[in-house]
Amino acid sequence: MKTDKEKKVLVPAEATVEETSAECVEKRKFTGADVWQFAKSQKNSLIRYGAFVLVLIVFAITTGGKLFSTYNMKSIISQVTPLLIMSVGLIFVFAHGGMDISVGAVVGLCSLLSVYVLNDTGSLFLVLLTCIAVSVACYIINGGSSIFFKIMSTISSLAIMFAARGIVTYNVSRTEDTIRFSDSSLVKLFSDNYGFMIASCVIIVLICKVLFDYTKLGKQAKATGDNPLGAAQSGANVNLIKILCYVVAGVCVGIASVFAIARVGSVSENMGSGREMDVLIALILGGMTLSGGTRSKLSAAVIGSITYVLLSNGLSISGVPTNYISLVKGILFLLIVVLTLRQSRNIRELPR
Amino acid sequence: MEKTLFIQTVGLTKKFGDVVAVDNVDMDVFKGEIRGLIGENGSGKSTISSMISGIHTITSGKILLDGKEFRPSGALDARNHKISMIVQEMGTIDGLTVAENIFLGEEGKFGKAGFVNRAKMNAEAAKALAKIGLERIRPEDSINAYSFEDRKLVEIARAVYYDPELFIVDETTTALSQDGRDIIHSLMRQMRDTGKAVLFISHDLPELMEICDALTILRDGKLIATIERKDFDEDKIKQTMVGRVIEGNYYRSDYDFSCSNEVMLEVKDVEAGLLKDLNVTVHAGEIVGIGGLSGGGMHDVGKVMFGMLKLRKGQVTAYAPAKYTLKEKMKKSVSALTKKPFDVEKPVVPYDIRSIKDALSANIGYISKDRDKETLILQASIKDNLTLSALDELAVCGIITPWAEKKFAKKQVEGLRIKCSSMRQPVKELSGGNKQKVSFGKWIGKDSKILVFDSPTRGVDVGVKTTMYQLLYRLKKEGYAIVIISEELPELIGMSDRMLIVKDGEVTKEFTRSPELKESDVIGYMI
Repeated sequence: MKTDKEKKVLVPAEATVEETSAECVEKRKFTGADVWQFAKSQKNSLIRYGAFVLVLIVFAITTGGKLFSTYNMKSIISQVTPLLIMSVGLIFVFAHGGMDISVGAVVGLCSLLSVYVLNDTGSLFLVLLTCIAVSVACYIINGGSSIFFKIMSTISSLAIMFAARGIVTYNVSRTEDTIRFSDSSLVKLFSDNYGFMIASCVIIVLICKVLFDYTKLGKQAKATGDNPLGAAQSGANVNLIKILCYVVAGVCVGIASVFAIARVGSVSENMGSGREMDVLIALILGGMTLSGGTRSKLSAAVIGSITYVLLSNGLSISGVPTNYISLVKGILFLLIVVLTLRQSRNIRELPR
Repeated sequence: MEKTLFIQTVGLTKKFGDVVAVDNVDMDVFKGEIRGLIGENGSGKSTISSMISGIHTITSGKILLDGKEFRPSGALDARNHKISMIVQEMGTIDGLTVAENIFLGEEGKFGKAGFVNRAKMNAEAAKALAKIGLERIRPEDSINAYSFEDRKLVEIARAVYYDPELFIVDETTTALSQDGRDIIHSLMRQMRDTGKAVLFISHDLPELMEICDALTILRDGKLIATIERKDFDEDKIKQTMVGRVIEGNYYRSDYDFSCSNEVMLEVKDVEAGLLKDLNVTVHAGEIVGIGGLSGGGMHDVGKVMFGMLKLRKGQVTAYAPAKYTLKEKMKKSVSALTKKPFDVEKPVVPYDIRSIKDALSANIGYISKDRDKETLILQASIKDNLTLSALDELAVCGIITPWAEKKFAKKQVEGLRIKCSSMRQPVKELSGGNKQKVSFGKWIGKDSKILVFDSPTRGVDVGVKTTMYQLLYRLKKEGYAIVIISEELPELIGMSDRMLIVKDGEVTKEFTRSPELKESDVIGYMI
């Protein structure tokens, strides 16, 4: 081990990327500033993996290993699945410089409709189709209105949020009974089949990864997030790209809402509310820059969602009262946002 | 006349991390002189002036102001010591009025119980503008109503309002037309005559030689020489700047204006933007220069050719090989996968250019005057910037593989000799010349045969300019059709086969390449 490290001393070119333990730092005659610089330049990755490892270790200890019990793992998987699929879809919206806070309400609306469709037809396939169609429609209206009326995407998504939430509330208040699946065994595939959940996540992540990093859509979307004018002059049809990003988000949110409703089984007024914040925190925990741009990484959505669920789950099984969990999340959110924002405050003096 | 020392730097040094930008500079600036600072990009001109004006901190050494040590804590502190600086970049704030921009941070002066007396502020702003002869700009107007150039002039009015003892002009004139330049030149002379000092930074050597009383030449952060006006010699100064011998004429040296008969781009009876009636034809292997005054519509010529302006009348036609049909595209994908050569010759067809999309499919490349904002994505890596406009060409079955991207980008980085630490380096970290090379590479790599460059050498130094000119010449020889739009006449005269002068939206004169052509022959058609 030791000789291995000494060998590396001879090859300074490799030195920057490897470990950062104090001993190594001394041996390579690194100054503290170098490490700091490196840490800063890789800050987003550090947050991404650092937060994940930290949460894993801390809760593995505080829960005495209960975190990894079969029962808990199942619960984690069923919580991660919808959140991860949503985040992976919505990262397309954030990457092109958009913002979405309607996801919770859209999930609510889709859930409502899935119950109606399933109870009427009994076809799971139709449920899935309805959810995707409704969600895509919501996102096209969302993106379309923000583009063609030139309003901020936050505002247009706010409008969608109120509209969708309104429909859910109205329908729930119309009946005395709870709106629920009359035969919940029909959605077993989405609620109890953990293999299917993992497989869906993997497939969706793979498809999105390809779209995000290896196609014109993803590349132009990321460029649009940094500089829409520059992207347009390089041949991107900026408006089309934005709409397509919203479509991708819509498809993912539609699929995610089937998982979400299948898990709960019934629709309440508040179905899905708070999801928008979950996604935001998950992305930030994953080291995503919320202003988007070419530095956006799909892994932020994946790792971030897992970290976020581990965090909520870990907090609750290590005995933190539910009331405090929100508080802890809030503090954490603030902390990470402060950490990420410091970057722009702390601009290194650059030659002009 | 006895000269009194005004500002003195002693061992002034500035480091950015490990990079020494200014290295032990001892410079004396006297009262009543216009001092030029010249050097290649990155030679430390801007850094020195930024330290004097408090924008940058000093690493070591000191600045003496009238013999007393002066260590500005910020730009405001420098202003209180009567040092004003005009920077290269935009220094006005959108959405505010002209008057508000002039008195930014000083609103308190017109305040009464927390309210700003607008009438008083506007009156004072009008005075500030009148001082530099800008009565046509109205202080109560929003700054957005004015052009880039006027906004720059407002900044100048702001700087002069505080009656500076030292006035620093950092490469401002490159962005200005002759009118603007005249204003700033006369202002500088006026300040000199009243015993104040001016530091003037520019890339434009003839301009510096015309205005300055003395020139300080910097190279790699070191002060190389200070030359008095009587010893000015263009070749010698250039040589000192780059430290190697440069031919007096760094433009192309041939006067052969012949080109192929093949028309690549045709602009016919176009009325758009500021243009009233434009007719231009560009052939393969031809460099067409477009000159004129900044506000006369010359920049719109480029925009029309790239499909960015809506045509009110007329037509823009480009000639390029026909696009592949879907079947051929699939064949291409297959041959890319099986590593078989794919060459299908397509006949040349006309393209009607009405949008950027049309322009791109007709293989037109365009570099905007505002390169950093419009052509490049500064935060993105060199690789991403180079490949962004060529995604269609790189895609195999819609998928762009990292290795295809890398190969593509590597070819351009090597071919254009872009200086960078890696292809993943963000473009914003590159110097001006290398940024420009990236924007060249973007289009050359995409195989654009028609290249429209708006102010391609704006803000780059002599060394890089030379490389740019060689590159343009090489492209011409390879059969590219090139349009250069430039405010610098020597550049147009030196490079183009044919030169069109645009004035008030119309072509007033066409010149053909000739050794006899002088700036003075051309200027008359511009004004």
